Amino acid sequence: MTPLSRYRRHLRIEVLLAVTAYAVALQNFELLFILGAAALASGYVSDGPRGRYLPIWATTILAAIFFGWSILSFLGNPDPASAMALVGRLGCCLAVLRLFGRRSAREDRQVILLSVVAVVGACLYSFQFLFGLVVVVFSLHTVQVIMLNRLQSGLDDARAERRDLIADLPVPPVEAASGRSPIGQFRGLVVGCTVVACVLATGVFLIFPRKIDAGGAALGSRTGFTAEVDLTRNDQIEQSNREVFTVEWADPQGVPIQWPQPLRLRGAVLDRWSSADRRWMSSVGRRYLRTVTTSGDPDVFVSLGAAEISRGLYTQTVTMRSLATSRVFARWAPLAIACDQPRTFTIEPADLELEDTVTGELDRFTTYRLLIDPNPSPEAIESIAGDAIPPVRPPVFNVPGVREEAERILREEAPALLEPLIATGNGADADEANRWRRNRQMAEIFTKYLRGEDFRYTLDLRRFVQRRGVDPILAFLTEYRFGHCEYFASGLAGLCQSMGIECRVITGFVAVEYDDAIGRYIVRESNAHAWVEVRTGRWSWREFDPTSSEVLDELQAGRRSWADDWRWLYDRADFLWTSRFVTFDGTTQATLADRFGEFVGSGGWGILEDAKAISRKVNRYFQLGPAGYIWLGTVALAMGLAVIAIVAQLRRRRRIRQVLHAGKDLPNGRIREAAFYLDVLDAFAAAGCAKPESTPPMKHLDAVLRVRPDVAEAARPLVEIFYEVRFGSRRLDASARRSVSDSVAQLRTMAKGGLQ
Amino acid sequence: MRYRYHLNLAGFLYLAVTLLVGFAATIRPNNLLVWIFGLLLGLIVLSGIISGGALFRISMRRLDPMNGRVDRPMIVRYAIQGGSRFIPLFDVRIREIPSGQDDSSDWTTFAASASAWVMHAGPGETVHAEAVFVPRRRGRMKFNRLEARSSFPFGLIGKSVTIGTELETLVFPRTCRIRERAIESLLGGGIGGGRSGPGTGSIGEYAGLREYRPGDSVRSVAWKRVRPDRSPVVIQRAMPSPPRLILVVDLRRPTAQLRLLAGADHREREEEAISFAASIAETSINLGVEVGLRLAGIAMPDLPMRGGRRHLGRLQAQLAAVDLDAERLEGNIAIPPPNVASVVVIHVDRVDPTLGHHGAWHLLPANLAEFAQHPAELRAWTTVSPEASRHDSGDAGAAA
Repeated sequence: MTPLSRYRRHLRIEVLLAVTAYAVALQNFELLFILGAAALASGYVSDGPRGRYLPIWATTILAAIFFGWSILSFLGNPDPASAMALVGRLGCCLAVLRLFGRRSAREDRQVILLSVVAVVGACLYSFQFLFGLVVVVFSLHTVQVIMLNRLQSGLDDARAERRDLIADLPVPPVEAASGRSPIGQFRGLVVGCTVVACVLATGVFLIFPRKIDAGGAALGSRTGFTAEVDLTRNDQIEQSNREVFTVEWADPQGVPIQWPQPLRLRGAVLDRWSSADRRWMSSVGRRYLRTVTTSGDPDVFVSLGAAEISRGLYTQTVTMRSLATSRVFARWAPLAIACDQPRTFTIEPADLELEDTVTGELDRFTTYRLLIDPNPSPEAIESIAGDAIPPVRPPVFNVPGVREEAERILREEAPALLEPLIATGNGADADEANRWRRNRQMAEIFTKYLRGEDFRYTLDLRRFVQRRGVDPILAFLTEYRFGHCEYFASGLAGLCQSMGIECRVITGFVAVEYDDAIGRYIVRESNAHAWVEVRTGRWSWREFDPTSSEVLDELQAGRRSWADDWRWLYDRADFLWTSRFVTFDGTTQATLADRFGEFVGSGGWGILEDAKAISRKVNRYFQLGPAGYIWLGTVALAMGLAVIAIVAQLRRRRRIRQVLHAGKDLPNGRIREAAFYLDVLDAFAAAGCAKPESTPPMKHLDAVLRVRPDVAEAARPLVEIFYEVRFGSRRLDASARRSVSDSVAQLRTMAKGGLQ
Repeated sequence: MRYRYHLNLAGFLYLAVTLLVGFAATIRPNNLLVWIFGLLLGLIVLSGIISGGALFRISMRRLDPMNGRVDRPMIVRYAIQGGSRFIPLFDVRIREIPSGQDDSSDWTTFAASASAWVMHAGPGETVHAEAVFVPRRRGRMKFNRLEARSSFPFGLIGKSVTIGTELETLVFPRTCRIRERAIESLLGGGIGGGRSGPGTGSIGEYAGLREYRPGDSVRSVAWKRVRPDRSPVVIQRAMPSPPRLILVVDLRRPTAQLRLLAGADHREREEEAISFAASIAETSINLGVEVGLRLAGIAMPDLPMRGGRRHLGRLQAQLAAVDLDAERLEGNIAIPPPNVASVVVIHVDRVDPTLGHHGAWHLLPANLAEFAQHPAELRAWTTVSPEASRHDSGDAGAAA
């Protein structure tokens, strides 16, 4: 048995991993089933006992077909961004095809290279945790396969050299010269190489120059919350089911309930469309920002500005799980906030946007609570906003064509709304109320229009071609008429603002998945959503969601399954993957460098502080209270002692095996029974008669007899027992073991001179 | 001992792929690509460290291959011991390195080779690997330096260690099996016979009595006979006496002065004559004939008539060691009379009856085809072509 015995199998696994990685990255599972099955079949067809191979002409023709298929696919969709996906697919197909051909180590290298090309190509299209996991496994497995390939290559070269020799007699075949346990040592070398390569790779990963604040860009196209609406991307968005936080919605009596409608949790408020950047932004120059600081007690609410907080408010409790953000997600309209950490929150009174801009991102276990008034009175809003809300004035929306489209819609649906408002003569308040009512009616009509059959919700925007000079909102409204929630919200906001209706785009989450068992909403990245708030009064805003409600229903219906009960495991790892790896950018690098500098400067005190912080976190997580530190210390001490004991035991066992010259065939039970001999040797050493390795025990006893006759006489029965156990297959029962143990203790005492 | 690093083609390709991945990682904010780039760089570093560390202080020893034979595989064994305490050896190729000097005895002028391959040797462990050489000509073959090369684990950076360890071995001439009938003819009376030898004992036919000598076995004493001086006599027995053959190779005429037709390769004819002699010697000894060797024109000692494989080795070694570039000696050599042994003289160009007695056989290389048991095999010889040889010399050879 040599390391090469399973070479072919490992090569097949390599191709399977590459195909899996590609399929996971591109969400192309048909390819996985076809190519995976083919790769598995090659194990029987080509590498099995029959050893059937495809002839060269057949592999050439099939390769040409695959190549032509890739060319045609590219010509069908000549998008440079998809070129590497086609290259990756071609690599997968050719690698699997190669498995069916007659091949040597040289051809196997081509298989490895094609697999690597496929995986590198797939890296450009995905960053999700599962894909990363497959890639890491693939990379580490590749290390082993390359090493095996080198061995096979050496063997092939040696065979080829022998084959080329011409002689009168047959040249003897190559005999692989090998020492003892080649497989074990090969595995050891593979593991060593893998570990060192990973350490080096991590080192390069940490110091590789990156852009500042590139973490968000690194996330690529994936459902999730962003603080702005960017309509420049036209790729396929990946559905992510990662759990980001949970929400408990309690009625004024404090009973967790499920809200009749989906809970729309506001994260960012965007009220200005930038045609140049093709994205929605927040208005600059916010002068009225206020800060509130929480005490760290989750039951102590701090008012966000309202003069008095009535008792009949709903309580929204958010527990962060795997979202690294400083935003606070709250339903309209938050009046007070509490947090289990002392934090400083910033509130924009004009739109009640909450963010922790001082302390930084909310941690994984952070919990904050908000007192919500779902239908706030104008006075409540006025008390919070004060002068922050500017006087009513028409918004600016300079996108040619949108107003015409809005007028067309109104002309078809409600022509009366296009006519100018006529003063009723009942006063300014009545005129203003009419204006607000008309705005609301227009928004309703636009919402109804966008929810119509002409518009289609999709996450695949690859056919939404962005053209220079054509605004994406206009293109969405008049040409393509498909997109995801951000397009729908942008369309509605664009239509409204073009008609002079003040409105804003809201991004956040919509909580639809209610878990009865825990009485909480589970909010996932796929629940990220965008909608519109239209101003319907001097102090009131109303939510309009142009995205079809069927989409939300689908989100809720397809969410729960048995797998979701275990999803938290995956989500934790996914969170770590995203927050520590995918979004690692120049800023994180600088922070890391600073911490390292602090650590070096503080001479290791930083570690102590970190340990304290970790213990605080763990204590808080398990809710152990002040006495928890004693428990934690006890557990740490016990774990430390256990580690020391295990290491000592392993070292002792290893030494016993060396002393006994015992191979792996000797069971551990026998080793344990003969272990007393180690103490006998120690006693000899303590008596000044250390046993040379080459001397047999009984012969050494004669030498001890000359120097320390008392020790020798005491040791003689023990040595005889050792002979019986080691070479005579004698098993020691419990009483014999106790007797031997006592004798050894006496011997050690005697050897140290304590007993005569 | 000399250590060297090599960057091979696979290494360049790997480097190119690494740079491409690094470039992609630079222009795309993709940390997975960055990590893969780091892994690729790490593997380059590891490749150099492991291939260098494994070969560091490696010990290589060539085991004496004794001798080879033209066109037969010659196995050369090596004992390899890894010098590293921790890193095992994998995929190490052991090969002989040319001396680099203009030396006609260097192995590269002799043989095609296939290097030895060591799949694995643990730290401090000794393994044996074997290389195969196929010598193409006869003579003294010298090995000069040994090289161990490995590009394990990833094939990117190779490391080689060269050590100088000289060894000389002999390549015996090419032989072919001679027909038994032909050997019988050369011996002039078939194979077999007996002679009275000095031996005593209970084996063999009764041959006579002789005086007792100290050391004779008591069992061989003829107790019923005594000498007049009352001293004991012992029974002398006849030992089987194999036929004897003396091979004479006539190399008196220098290579350049051989009387061959124009265009003939003189040196080849000489080699054919030596191969002819070796073939007759080998077949004869295998048939139980005692064979002696005389080299006319070459200052080398005569080999007495003996049988056995060991003597065959001596004969072939003598023939292998013939230096055709050495100065040739004039004059005849002493040939035993016909009653001692049959004599076969092998000439290179023309028969010279003055060499040997009147009953001697005089052969030319062209006669080999008639003597060979499988003449078709001779066509595969690179140097021998019976027709061409006969045509070159213009002499069909002469029998006694």
